[in-house]
Parts: sequence; C-alpha cells; structure tokens
Amino acid sequence: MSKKKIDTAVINHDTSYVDRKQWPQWQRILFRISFIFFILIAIPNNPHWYTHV
Amino acid sequence: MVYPCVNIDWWNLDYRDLYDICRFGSGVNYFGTTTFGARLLGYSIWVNTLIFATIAGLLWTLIVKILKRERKEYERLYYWLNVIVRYRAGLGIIGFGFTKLFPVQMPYPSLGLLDTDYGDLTAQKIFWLSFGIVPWYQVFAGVLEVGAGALLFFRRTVAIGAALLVGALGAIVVVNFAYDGGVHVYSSYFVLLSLFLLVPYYKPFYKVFVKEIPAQVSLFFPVFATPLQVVRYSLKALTIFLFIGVFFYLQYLDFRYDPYKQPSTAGYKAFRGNYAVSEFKLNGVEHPYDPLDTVRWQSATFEKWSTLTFKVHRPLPLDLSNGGGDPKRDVNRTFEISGVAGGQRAFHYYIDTVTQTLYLEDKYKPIPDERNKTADSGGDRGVRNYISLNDVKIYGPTISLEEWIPAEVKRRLGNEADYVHPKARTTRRLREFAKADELAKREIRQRFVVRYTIQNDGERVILRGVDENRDSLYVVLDRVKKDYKISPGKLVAGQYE
Repeated sequence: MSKKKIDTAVINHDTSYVDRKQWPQWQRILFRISFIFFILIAIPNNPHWYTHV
Repeated sequence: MVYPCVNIDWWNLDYRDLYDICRFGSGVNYFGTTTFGARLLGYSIWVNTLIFATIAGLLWTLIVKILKRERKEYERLYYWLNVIVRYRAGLGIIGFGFTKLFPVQMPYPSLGLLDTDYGDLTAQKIFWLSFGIVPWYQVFAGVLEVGAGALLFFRRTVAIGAALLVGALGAIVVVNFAYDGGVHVYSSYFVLLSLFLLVPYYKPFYKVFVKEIPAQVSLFFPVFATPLQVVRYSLKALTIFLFIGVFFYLQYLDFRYDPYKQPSTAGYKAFRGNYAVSEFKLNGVEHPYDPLDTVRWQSATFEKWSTLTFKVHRPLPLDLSNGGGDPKRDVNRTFEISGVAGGQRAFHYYIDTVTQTLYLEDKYKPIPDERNKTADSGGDRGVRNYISLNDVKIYGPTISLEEWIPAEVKRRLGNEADYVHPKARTTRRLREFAKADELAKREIRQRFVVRYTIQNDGERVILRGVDENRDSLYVVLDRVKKDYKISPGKLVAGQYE
C-alpha cells in the first residue's frame, strides 16, 4: 500500500495582493505595534555596537 | 560617521569579535532606564519600548485611515519581521552557546576558590561553580543552545528551534532570578523572541496536542526571482560559515589557549599548589597562628596561572559581577574573586626570575571596568550596571605604578601580549595591550613587591618584601596536599605547561 504524504504546513507562496486573505482590524493594529516593538529590540541602537564591532 | 564592522580585523579574528556582533540589547532607551521611576527589575526598557510601539502603532493606524491607504494584510512585512527576529535570536544564542560548547563560561574552580568556605560564596557563584565542575554538562547546554540557534536559520525548523529556546532559556531566566545571576533580562530576551516566532504555531499546537485533531500551519513565503534567490542563499551560507564554522574554530582557540574568564599566562611551575602559612611577620613582629588574627595570612595558593591568593580574617568589599566580560589582561579577569567573600584575596603577579621577585597587583579594584560595551541596554554591562561611583570609597594605592616595577625589570618582562600561544595573539588582544599602560595609569588598585626563596623543591616558599601598606612582610609558606573529591577530568581549558 502506498503511503500518502501529508504535509503539516500550508505554504502560501506569493499570491497576488488581491487574492490574499483579509486580516481583521485588531490583527492589523497588533501587527503594527509588534512590528515597531520587535524591530526596536532586535536591531542595535547603540553606536558602540557599530564602532566597537 | 560610523561604519559597521570596520574595527574588526577579519584576518586575525578573536572569538570575542564575533561574540560582540551577537551580544547586544536594544530598545527605546531615550527615556532612561526606568519607567515612571521604577527599574522593573531591569525590564523597564522593554516596557518603555512597548509604550512607544503602542503609541506609534496606533498613530500608524490613524494615519492610514486618514489617508485611506488601509491594507488588507501585512503578510510580506510579517515574513520579513520574522526573518529579522529569527536571525537576531539565532545569532544571539549561538554566541552564548559556544562559550558553553567549549566550556569556558563557567570555569573549573581554581585552588583559591576551592580553598574558600562554601558559606562564603554567593548563590550566583555556587551555581556557576556547580556547572564548572561538570564540564560535560556545560557542553550539553552549549550543544542545545547552538543547535536551537542553528534551527532558527531555516524556515521549516523555526518551530522546533524556538520551542527549544523557550524551554532552555526559560530555565536560565528562572536560574538567574533564583541564584541572583544578573542575566535575567538578556535570557528573557530569547524567550520573548522565541514566543513571537511561535505565533503561527499556537493554534495548530493546541489542536494537535490538546484537542488531538489534525492541524496544519499556514505560513507565507514570498517567491524570489532567481538573482534574489542567489543573494538569499549566499547570505545564508555566509552566516552559517561565519557564525557556526569560523566561530567554532575561534571558540576552540579560546578554550585551548586563552579561556576568557581565566588568566592565560602560565604561573611559575615551582610554586603551584596550596600552602599553609607557617610563619608570618609584619614589621618584624611575629603573628603566631591564630584563625582570628585580622592581619595574618591564614592560607595561600599559587594557581597554575599567574595568581597568588591568600585568605585573611577580615571583611573585604565584594566584587559582585559574574567575572565575565571581555578583558584580555590577566589582572582584569576576576572570576577568582567575583562573588567570593571570606577574606579571600587574589593578586596577579609578574615574575622576574633573575632577581627572584614577584610584582603583585590586587585583582579587586573599587572602580571596575565597564564590560560588554557593545551589549548596551538589555545586555549585561557588568558591575557598572549597579555600582554607584559616588558610593565607592577610594583609597589610593600606597605604591604607585611607576614605583612598582623598575624600568629595567619591565624590559626584562617583555610584552605581556606575547605571553600566550601565537594562535591566541589576536588583533583584539594586541590592540588592548597597546592601550594597557595608559589604562593602568587610571586604575586604582593595591600593589606590592616581594622577593621569593624556594626551598626543598618547592615544599617551602619564603616571601620577603613590602606589602601594600608599605609594611615589611615576611611569610613562610609550607606546601600542603589537598585531596579534593572533585577533579577536572579531561576537558581542561587553557594551556599552562
């Protein structure tokens, strides 16, 4: 009996913008806050990092 | 104008050059290190950043609404945010992990530390040492951290890498709180980043593990045109080559020749060991054995590296750091005294075998160096994080730097930068030693000078000289054999033969 591979991840490759699913408003707001927060804590803001390194 | 990465000599790298790229904290620190006056255990920078991000995020929402430019979704931006967070967390934990994979972060206890009573060690020190006596366990923790970090470089293994990080680093956060380790903020950082990376997986995990029904994860991957795909694979390959391949080799060199928390210069072989103090005279006055005498040395050790330690029965100020950081000069490597009470003192020495003289300098100094400069906020800047310079009582050294070692002896001692194996003479080390004399002039630390006589093949060492208070000192040390129940095993850092 052949085994059927079941993929556990659905990879949504670049679809055109029109085809993409709408995010609810709360998700968009939360994303904007998270985006700014994580960029700020994940990228060095210390000039020492750039000069010392 | 600052340019990234111009200071690093890529042709003579030090492990710390790569470590410093990986090791930093960030966030909104323009409002200081408190939130409305509260330090929040060091987390205030996160809270301030969150407040700032919330206001900015709401403004962003308002502006797109006013301009009627509201988007349906942010799949592509979310993807790139994930990439940044994945690489930030991956590189950071690899930098941390390698110092455990080659066990140097928690060194094996030195003779002086083994000669300290258990109750005279801080909780942090006891935890660090209990890791240090079992180097293989430290290696395991290192493999776990480097492995988890490497899994974050690949989109399909993010879930397992991030889940491992939450578990491993979550435990380290609790350890830091329980033992007062001081690195709770930076370890929480990886937990936070990993929890963010797991966002697409929470729902499917709940379905599979709790409801026990099939589930699929929905992920968005952009399609790259061929030239971009080449750039992407090249950058990824470069990151893996540099931060796993090259880093592995550099960390091996550090472990082998210059373990960053231990002095790297070999100690004088005839001395090495534990000593009982058989005779002790100060200004010609004999101090017979008395465990309560506050002046007499109670016991002494000469380490396998260039340190003399001795115990006195009086309270001394403590070094409350974890003995880490990036100093290259042996005198500034203070794992031997950090978190150690009980009157245990450690002095770095230069030895002039021609005149049989030891030039000693105290490892403790009231104003410690700033460490991990590149780490900044959220990182661990060592003692400077909690010390208030106004509170430090400063007693200048009685013996000045100029008086301490005569020029002729200095010439004989040569360049300390060359005391280590050639492979450990990195550009970073050479640069630090080039500035060492200037920096030493600004340091406040005690110094003294003694002549030594070795008798009976090193069974007895006699020290005669002038101590840090310019009192004449005469000490007879007799070797004692300590039969400790722990041994370092085969994974021993440093080269001292």
